[in-house]
Amino acid sequence: MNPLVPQPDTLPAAWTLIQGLLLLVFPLHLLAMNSLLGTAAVVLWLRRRGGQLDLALAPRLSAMLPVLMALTVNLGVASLLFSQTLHGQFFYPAAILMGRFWLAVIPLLIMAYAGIYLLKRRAPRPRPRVTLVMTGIVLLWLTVAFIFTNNQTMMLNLPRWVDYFKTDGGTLLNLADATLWPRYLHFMIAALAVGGLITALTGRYLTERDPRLGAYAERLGLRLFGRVTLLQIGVGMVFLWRLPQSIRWQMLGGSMAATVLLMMAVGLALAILACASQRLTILCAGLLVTQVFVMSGLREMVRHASLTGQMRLSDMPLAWQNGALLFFVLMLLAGVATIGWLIRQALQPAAAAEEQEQPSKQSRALRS
Amino acid sequence: MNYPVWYLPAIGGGTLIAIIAVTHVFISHFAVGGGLWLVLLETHAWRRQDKALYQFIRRFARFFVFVTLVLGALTGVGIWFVISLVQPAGTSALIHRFVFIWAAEWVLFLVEIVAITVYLHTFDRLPARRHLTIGRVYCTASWLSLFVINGIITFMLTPSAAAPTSIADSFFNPTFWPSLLLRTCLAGLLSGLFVSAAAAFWTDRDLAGRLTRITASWSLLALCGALPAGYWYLRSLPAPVQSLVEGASPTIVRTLAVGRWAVLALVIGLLLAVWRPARIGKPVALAGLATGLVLMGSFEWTREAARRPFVLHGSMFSNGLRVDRATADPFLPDIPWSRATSAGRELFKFQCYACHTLGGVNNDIIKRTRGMDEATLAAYISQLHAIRPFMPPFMGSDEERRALATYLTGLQPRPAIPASNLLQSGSLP
Repeated sequence: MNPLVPQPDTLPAAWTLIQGLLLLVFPLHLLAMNSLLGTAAVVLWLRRRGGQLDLALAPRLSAMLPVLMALTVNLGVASLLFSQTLHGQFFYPAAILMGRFWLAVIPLLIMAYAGIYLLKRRAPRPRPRVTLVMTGIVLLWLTVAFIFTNNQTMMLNLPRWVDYFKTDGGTLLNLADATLWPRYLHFMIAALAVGGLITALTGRYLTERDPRLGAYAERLGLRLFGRVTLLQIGVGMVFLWRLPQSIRWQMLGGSMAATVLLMMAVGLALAILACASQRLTILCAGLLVTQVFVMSGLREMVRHASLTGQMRLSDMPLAWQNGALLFFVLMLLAGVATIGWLIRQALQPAAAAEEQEQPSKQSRALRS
Repeated sequence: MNYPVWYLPAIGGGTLIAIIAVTHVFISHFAVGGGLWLVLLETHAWRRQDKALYQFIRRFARFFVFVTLVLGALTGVGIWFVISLVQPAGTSALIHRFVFIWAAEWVLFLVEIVAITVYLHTFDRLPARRHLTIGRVYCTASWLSLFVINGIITFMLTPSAAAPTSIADSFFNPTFWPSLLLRTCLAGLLSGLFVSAAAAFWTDRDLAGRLTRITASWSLLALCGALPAGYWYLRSLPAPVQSLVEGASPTIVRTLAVGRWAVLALVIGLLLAVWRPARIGKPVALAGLATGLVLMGSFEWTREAARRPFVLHGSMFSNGLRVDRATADPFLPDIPWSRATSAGRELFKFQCYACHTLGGVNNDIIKRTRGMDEATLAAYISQLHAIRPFMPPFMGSDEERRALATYLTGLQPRPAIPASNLLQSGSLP
């Protein structure tokens, strides 16, 4: 065991349970983050194309960004919470080694978040300025993602930790790690693919109201989604090849579970390509969600394989917190039910809502 | 202490925590009280058929969402980021103790996001009663969020009257209820100040005057509630902590003095707003908001300082060292993240840096040790905790204590050498 790895604190529930919670929320965070970054990139692309339909579609996609940002942050909080519970002894040193960059994530996100709200509020601005702001926002998110990739690889790169003895001001990054760039590219290309899918889904939604724009968005989104997924298969292979040999072999037959997950991921990618070519948008979305869950499972396996010898689950102290766990489960159920009700209200057509509670003439006057 | 230290000696980790935490707490209390204002004012607008007020609420809701989601949510994440960097041992201990409580708070945070987003986008689409119900869902979730996080924050200061045996004991600790009442009142006060500030920028001066009078009255009431709640909070603290707040800690004395001035200024300002609301223009309203920030900063700073010498009261010192660690054993050999060279620097980094800076604005140790020679400082370090109970005891051997004293005295500014001495032959290297 590396002496620089701190002693883990007592787990409040079995490892597998917390790991299960992490595997539930992290893929959702990834989906939200990919939708956010990918949609923003598509908006930027549409603005640069500058066609009539492109410029009509861009604001509709931009309007989703604030909600996607809020969900990305929220689901990221849950992921980080469960991840710190499981891997805190690796996470904290890695974050401290790159402290300046890690803390910079907050102002960068605030700037990007404020930017998308300002764009939404003042939509009728000159086009070059909107494009410039959107470029800035996308660059900020790309930077944040790069910092996160550094953090997540630094957690696993224990030999890099000794550089702390040369510099302790939080200025280290994990740039020499062979997996850093392929992993970063893998995530960013995934975001672009999801951006394409979100565009296609938006097109599907718009079809009834504006058939021409809807069809254009769906066609454009699926084309982007398919092409980028094809590229992703190549990048994924490079990523696999850059992993340490012992870990790579686990996915190529050494470990049954890892091999099955990798095969599933490849199979799903091929199925996604086929669906995209046949314009089966909803099926594409279903397959993509499954794919993200499968890839998240594979990612956890890579993490554990990377930390072999540094983390023995049997040695980790455990003291069940049954009451607190029950409280969380009840809150989660109540929360999901409440959110379900809220979303129903949001999606309910105005006419249907008014039928249930007849508004008076006075209330119409107040709103006019 | 088995974690590395993110070492920024001129700034100090405590300063970073303070900047982010005070900003977040200021906005998060607005997030709790502001939702209630939205619902109350919207109800008022519907009952009175007040079109001008309704238009104001719609604009204010946009401002509210922008401030609470962009700044509030992200500075909340920021606190977590910065405490992970500055107090990793304490953060890890807290997370492992309260992970499911925090997870429950995350659920509430998600409900808040969805509720306020739906509320903002359904002004024109939903009947009034349904729209107000959505607003009430937001209010409930945000207050419950305060309820949950309050249990964790108060645990850090007053873990329990006895050793906590369960999470419920830890959560409903001796200062839980007074702190909850105090924070609820502060949420009412701060959100009232925010509404007043927004009203000051509203062009309809008649409506602005009415809003200023209503919000000032309620803010005054919240402030009147906060004062006895604060007193109850103080009386619920353990005796050593109470003595720190009541004068044993110079830092707290200064901070509380600032807080008292802020309260006085707010009382005067709010009375003026109730009496002559038309006089409350943009500068006065913004000054009121700034005073609220100062008050909140004073409260949070006092709470943090009163916890000293602990980060988790009774179990972990503010420098991340466990209380049960033997004090006289050699320290550095037990610290895998310390460098082999410069023992004094490493001792400062792992034991003093959590609260002190080197030449920085906050708690500069160079100023604090000015005028001490090595022997005096070494003797003082050995009695540190006895002389100043709000400082952790020095942990380490006599040799290490002297090494720390040598390092700190070596940082003192040297007396200026007269130019005539330099010009004498043989004085130059």
